[in-house]
Amino acid sequence: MGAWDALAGVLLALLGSYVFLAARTFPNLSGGYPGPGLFPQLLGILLAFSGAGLVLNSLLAGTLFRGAPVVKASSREVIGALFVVLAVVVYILLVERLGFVPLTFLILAGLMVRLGVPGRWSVAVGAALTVLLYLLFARLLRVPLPGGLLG
Amino acid sequence: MTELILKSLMALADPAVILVILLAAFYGLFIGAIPGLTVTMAVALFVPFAVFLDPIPALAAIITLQALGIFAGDIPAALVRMPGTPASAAYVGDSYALSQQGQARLVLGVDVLASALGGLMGSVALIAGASMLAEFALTFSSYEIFWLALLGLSTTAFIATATPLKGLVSVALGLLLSTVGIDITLGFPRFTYGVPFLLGGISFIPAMIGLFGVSEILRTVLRGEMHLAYARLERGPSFLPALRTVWRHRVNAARGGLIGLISGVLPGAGADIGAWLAYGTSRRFSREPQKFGKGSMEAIVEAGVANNSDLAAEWIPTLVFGIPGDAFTAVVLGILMMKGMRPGPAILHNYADVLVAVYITFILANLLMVPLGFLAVRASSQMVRLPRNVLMPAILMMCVVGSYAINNSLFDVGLMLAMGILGFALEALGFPVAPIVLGLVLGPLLEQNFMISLIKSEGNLALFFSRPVSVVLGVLTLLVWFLPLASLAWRLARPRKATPEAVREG
Repeated sequence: MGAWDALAGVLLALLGSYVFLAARTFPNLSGGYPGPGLFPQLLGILLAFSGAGLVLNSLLAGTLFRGAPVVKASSREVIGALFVVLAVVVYILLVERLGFVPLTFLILAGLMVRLGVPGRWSVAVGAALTVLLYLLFARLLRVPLPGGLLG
Repeated sequence: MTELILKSLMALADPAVILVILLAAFYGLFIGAIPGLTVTMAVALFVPFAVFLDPIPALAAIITLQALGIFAGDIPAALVRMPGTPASAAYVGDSYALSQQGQARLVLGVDVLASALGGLMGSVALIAGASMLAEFALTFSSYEIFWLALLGLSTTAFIATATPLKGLVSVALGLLLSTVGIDITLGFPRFTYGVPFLLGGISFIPAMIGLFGVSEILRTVLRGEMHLAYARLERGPSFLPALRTVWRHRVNAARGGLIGLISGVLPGAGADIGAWLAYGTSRRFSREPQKFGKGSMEAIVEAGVANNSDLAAEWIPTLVFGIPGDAFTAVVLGILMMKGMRPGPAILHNYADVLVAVYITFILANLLMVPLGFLAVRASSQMVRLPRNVLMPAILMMCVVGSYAINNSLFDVGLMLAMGILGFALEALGFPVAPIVLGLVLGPLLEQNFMISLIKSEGNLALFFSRPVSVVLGVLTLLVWFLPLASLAWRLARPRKATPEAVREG
């Protein structure tokens, strides 16, 4: 984990420094009292030092350039995970145009096929789940889900 | 008082409320029994329903789903060697080893009874402790609240994690996220980058759903285990043998209950910490320490009681100080606020009827645990066998709609995804996720009381230690900080005896 810890440490130190500098530009209260900037500045310092600490730790342990992969997964599984992320992005972009019901069905069935559920099952279970979600949220809880094509 | 109890009983006896409680029980059992899906995620997804319900059924449902969910976490621990929730992680090895020896049914029966017993102990502590602490809390000023919030955050960062430095980073990230939006002193927008959705701050529930739901879906899909191999349940009676087993280990049960209560009242330590601590003490006082990890019933009883007695105790600091001890009660706090119930010592007077209903539900839910728990044990192999490649897409869409439903905002769905990816990445790198949530929730409270104290004392930090309770809390907090430093110095002084880092899920 050494190399990864060091990488995370560098990123955190950069984030901390940025937060500190950005928060310094926030206005102060009148009368010289600290204002909205004080708390983020303290957090920035904390993050910067913890990040440096992580780098130092892996230096001291002599593992700076050694690191096993953080997640062991085949390319098939990585693509599956990317599909999960993509599904949410597609939902955000298209739900207002296509509507909740058709898009949810497509995403559910598509993801199931991608994860290895047989096609016929994916369609049937996807449809059933879509109806269930619609009834629960749109009917019972009255959440205004986008109607889209069916609206 | 009798009038209040009668009134609360009447409110709970409504058939609609009973139905809600039963549904919540099954929901909790289901989510708890699925490895990876935590009770914390279950309650975050329940929030849209809680908004819709009246305060009493909403809180009753949450209490029930938590009690049964934490028990159900023991089911896959015994059957597939995976904890259903982090609270069951401590004794997974022992549960599974006993199942392999053909005692799965007995282990699960003991789990039911230990959980119910622990839950009842916690309920009694909540009923007695809340009013006692409320008197005490009336004397609190901004200094005490500041120290208490800081103590909770320090505990999650330093004591509740395997690597204190990483716990500290997680807390700091959570606090940083809490500063996004309009600030409380001047109304100045911080870190909003001109995005109007961010002016009100990071929405807490979508963030939680991302951190606990989406990140777990990503982990499961990457792990690629869509069907789990499970141990068989043997046939035969389980109630009486389980009862006898718990009675034989009654000392463990009592000690576990006490440990759970302590970890519950302590802000920053959740049910998983309680279970780990109880596992440790049961081993320390055991006459057969060699059995630990290979199937020790003592460990299962002690830690199983502890993780449930923790739950009710966890509500005490949440209700009385507005300082939740773990991610679950952080959601409870959010729901209380949504219902207009401001936590603090006054809540016990202002919402006495709701709180009495809460107390009654805690007892009821843990009594309900016995029949429903044994029912769940019978159905357990079906639950564990559920194909995860069907389940994960379904949970994903629940997360999407649940995040959307809070503010009817697609921005929140994006926030959920971002937090899901962040949570996944941090967890993969060994940073704990729960401290982020506590940081996010306690951030505004901490900052507000810090600023008020600072302005009151005109920048004189010595005044932070000027009152008796603030001295105690302040010194405790500093102790929590210096404990890891002292152990680091100890290790540096004796470099020969390097121990491998304890890896622990949570």
